Amino acid sequence: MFQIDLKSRMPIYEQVVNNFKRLITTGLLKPGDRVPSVRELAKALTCNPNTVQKAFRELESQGYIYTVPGQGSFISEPPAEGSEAKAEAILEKIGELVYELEFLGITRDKIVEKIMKG
Amino acid sequence: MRSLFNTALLKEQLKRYWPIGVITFLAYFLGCLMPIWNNAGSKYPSPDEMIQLLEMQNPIIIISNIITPLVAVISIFSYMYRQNSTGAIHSLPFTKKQLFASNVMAGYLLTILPLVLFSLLLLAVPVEFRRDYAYSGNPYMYTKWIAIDIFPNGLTYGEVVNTLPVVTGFFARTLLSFTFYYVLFITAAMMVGNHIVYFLVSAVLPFIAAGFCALFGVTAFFYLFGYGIERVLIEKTLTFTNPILMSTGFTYAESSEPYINKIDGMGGYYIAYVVIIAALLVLSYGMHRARGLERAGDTVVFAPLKNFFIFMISLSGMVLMGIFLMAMLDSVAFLYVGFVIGFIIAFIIAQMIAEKSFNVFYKYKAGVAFWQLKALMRHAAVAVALLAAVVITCKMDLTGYVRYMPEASEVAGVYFGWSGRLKSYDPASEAYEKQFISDPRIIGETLAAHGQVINARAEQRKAFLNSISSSYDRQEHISWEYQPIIYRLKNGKIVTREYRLSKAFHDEYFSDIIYSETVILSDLFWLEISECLNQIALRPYIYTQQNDEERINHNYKEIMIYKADEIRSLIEALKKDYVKHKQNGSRVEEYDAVCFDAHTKTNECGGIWGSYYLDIGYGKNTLEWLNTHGYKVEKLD
Amino acid sequence: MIRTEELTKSFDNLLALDKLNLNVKKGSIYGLVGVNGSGKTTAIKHLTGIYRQDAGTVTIDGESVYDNTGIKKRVGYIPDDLYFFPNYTIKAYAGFYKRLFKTWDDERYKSLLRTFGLNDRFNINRFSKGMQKQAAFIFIMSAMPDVMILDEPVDGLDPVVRRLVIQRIVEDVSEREMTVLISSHNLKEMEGICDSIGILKRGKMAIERDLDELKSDVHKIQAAYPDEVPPGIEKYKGLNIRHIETRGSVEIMVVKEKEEVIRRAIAQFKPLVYDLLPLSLEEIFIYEMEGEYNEILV
Repeated sequence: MFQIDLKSRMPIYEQVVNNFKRLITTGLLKPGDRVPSVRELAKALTCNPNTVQKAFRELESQGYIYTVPGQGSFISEPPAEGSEAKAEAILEKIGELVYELEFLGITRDKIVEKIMKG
Repeated sequence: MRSLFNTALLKEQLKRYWPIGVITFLAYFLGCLMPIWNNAGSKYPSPDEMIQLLEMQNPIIIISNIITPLVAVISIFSYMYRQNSTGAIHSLPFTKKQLFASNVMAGYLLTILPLVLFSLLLLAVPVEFRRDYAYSGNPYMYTKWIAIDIFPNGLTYGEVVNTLPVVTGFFARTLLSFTFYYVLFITAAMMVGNHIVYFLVSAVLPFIAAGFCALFGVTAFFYLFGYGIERVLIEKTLTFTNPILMSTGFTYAESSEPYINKIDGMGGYYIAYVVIIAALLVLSYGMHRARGLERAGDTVVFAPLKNFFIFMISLSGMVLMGIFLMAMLDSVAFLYVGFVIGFIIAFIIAQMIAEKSFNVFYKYKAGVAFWQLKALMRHAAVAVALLAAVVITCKMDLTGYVRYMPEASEVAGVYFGWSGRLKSYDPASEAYEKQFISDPRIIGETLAAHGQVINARAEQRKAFLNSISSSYDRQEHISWEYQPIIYRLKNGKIVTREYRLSKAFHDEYFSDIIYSETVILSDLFWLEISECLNQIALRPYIYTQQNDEERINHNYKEIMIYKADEIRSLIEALKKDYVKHKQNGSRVEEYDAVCFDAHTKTNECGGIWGSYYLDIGYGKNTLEWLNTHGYKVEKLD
Repeated sequence: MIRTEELTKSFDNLLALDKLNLNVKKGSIYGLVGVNGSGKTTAIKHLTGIYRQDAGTVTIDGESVYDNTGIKKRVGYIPDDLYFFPNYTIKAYAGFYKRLFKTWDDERYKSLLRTFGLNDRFNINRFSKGMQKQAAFIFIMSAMPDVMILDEPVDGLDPVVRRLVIQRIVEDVSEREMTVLISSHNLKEMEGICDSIGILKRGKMAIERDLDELKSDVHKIQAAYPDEVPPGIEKYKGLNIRHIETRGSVEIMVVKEKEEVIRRAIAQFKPLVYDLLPLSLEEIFIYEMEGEYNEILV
């Protein structure tokens, strides 16, 4: 599915979270798909199960997955209107960051380039 | 209820070390059983091998008694001496108690199962007692001794030697001895941290009690006026602390007679040995529990014990060097010089052994020699304190030993024999009482002379020092004379004193006593007891002077007398000659005169066995007796 | 699950462990790190019941470890200095362990043997060091322990074997909530597998944290200024600066603060460009050890 980059300085659980988010937003994982168990994923990635557990908790709290007791975890439906406010907040934050970047001398073009690249 | 043994560990240890048991058994089988069975099944069967084995005289059993436990212990417990192995074992799920018990049991089984099997096989083939001896014309020809305690009723022709009770007795005695050494070596193993020190300590432990006795004896000998080193005490201690010596009959302790009388000296000591074994086992277990595993590989695991060893080694070095220098350089002052040098050198050597390194002058941050100096001072202070205590006690006679003399009314008999050793130590035997002179006049004179010695002790100390420091004098007795006095008191106690007196003093106070007929004849007390004395062999010799050299010519035939009435009268003649000879200072002054050695032989009674020898020197009366009874002195062809 | 309180131990006047407090939660993989001589192996030998402490407590699952067979039966230990009985094969050892540990799983033993491809009829002492480690690993894994204590376990194993070992450990942790304590110098590897870290310094626990929390606490900043660096560390008043170095117009800092706090502080001084990086475990360790050695490493 994906690999953990041990050389990267990003904490492993963050990598797991980000990788899952990418798989979901790009559509490789569809709503209703079963998420591998902590055990399976830890073994596949050769990493600490607690770390995987932490990542799953983070994903669940952010609404990307949900757990059915006794059956496992599944990909959630994309969020409905209720989270528009949340999206607004994030956009606001982006605005702040852009301002900071410009202050540091980074041009808009460069910023846009970065957004496109992802 | 947790079990004492961890069976998994026990099985595993047995699996690893079974060769020890097998090799031991093979040694028994090939070295003991095969010869016995071969012998029993041969054309002229003889029970000698079997008897020798049952009498605990078989060298293979004796050697195995030490070697098998020694090897079993070091094999089973060698894991304790390296950090990695001891860590690995101790992280496994057994308690220390289980670890100890299982290991001890495994080693013990390896040690004694071969013995059990061997003892069972001993019963397999009955060996009969058959004996044929060629008749030599002498009806009292020597026959082989049989150990009385093992075969209390002797052995009759055709009787089976290896009966169940006898073999069981052999097994019990051997088992006790093996168990003792096994537990002793376990104690050694628990104290130490590596293999080499284990072997060193195991080699020393059996002798340690006797060693202390010897140290005490030597010290008292030097500092306590009148003390004679009690060799008997040392031997007794050595024998008791070594069951193997006791069971093989190394029992000088009980009698000076040949050992056969008391071969099973262990008899009454069984309980004491069992108690000692139990105590050592408890001690080992305690040490096993207390061992810090971080010390694996160190020489001695317990710091106080380590200090004790270092001290004892230093002390030994001190005493040895002191004695050595004093003897070499012929001066008592060098005794103390030797003490200092010996102590320091032995201390350094002990530290090297303890730290397993030649570089013992640096320690931690303390720099050159400083730490060592402090430790040296501590040990030396103890040694000096001990020495001071000894010197003060002896010089000031705090125990009253030096000035003690029994009252005349207390004394039953007195004995002047050489080396302070009685001829008989068995109070039950007739010889015991008879060896002491009970003549009241002699006793009175002895006490008077003894009193003079005590009064003159300050000057006589000089003679004593001369006798031990001057090597020439030591050999030739130029300026001193040795005088033991042993009292037997009426209450049964024995009081022993040994003095080294100046020749002048000895001549003045003791010559009359020593050279009186009563005292000289007391040497021959055993002749009086021997109604069983059945043979006297006279060996003539001539003292000649040829080519300016003195020669002893032994080329004469032995003359045997064994008629009872003749023996009686010959003894009288021998006595007269003996007294004369002794009064002459045991010197023969006439050349070409006939001299005699006499050998007597006794048979089984009176508590005395074997033969006795006396040198009567120039035998004027004996020669006369021979002539009157028709015997001739003839040269050998 | 694994806990020491005020654990103290001296060897011949040398204080090896100084009131050590160590805590490993159940089901976690804990990394014990420290420079050589900091007391790692000594601490581990207390946890496995080999050494007896001078003071303090050593417990596993609430029970004291020393001389406790009930606990020892649930602990699998691989020392850094391996020892095997001479002339023993893997098969012989398996037989021994089977009798010692009631939880021995023969199926697992056979499967592990196959996985690692070791011959169970050879004398273990003839194996290479790496194969010996594999053997040791097979033994303790087959005993299905509740607690695993490993002293430098994967040092010396090739990458393939290393991966196999870690996979099995990870499996057991997630399946049975096995607790693992690993001591190693290979911090990169530890970073990938541990969820908690304990840094030992001269017999004391210097830092004991959840690894992710530890990493979020410290950051490295490289800031480049248009002209000379604004002078003085005082400008960063209130920030917990562990290390600061200036080279011309570039300033390098290691700061023990959360990311947000640092960003706001840096922005004030308008650097031309700056990098804010989380530290790797290795870097955290090295900076923590500053003062242990005379060189300061950047």
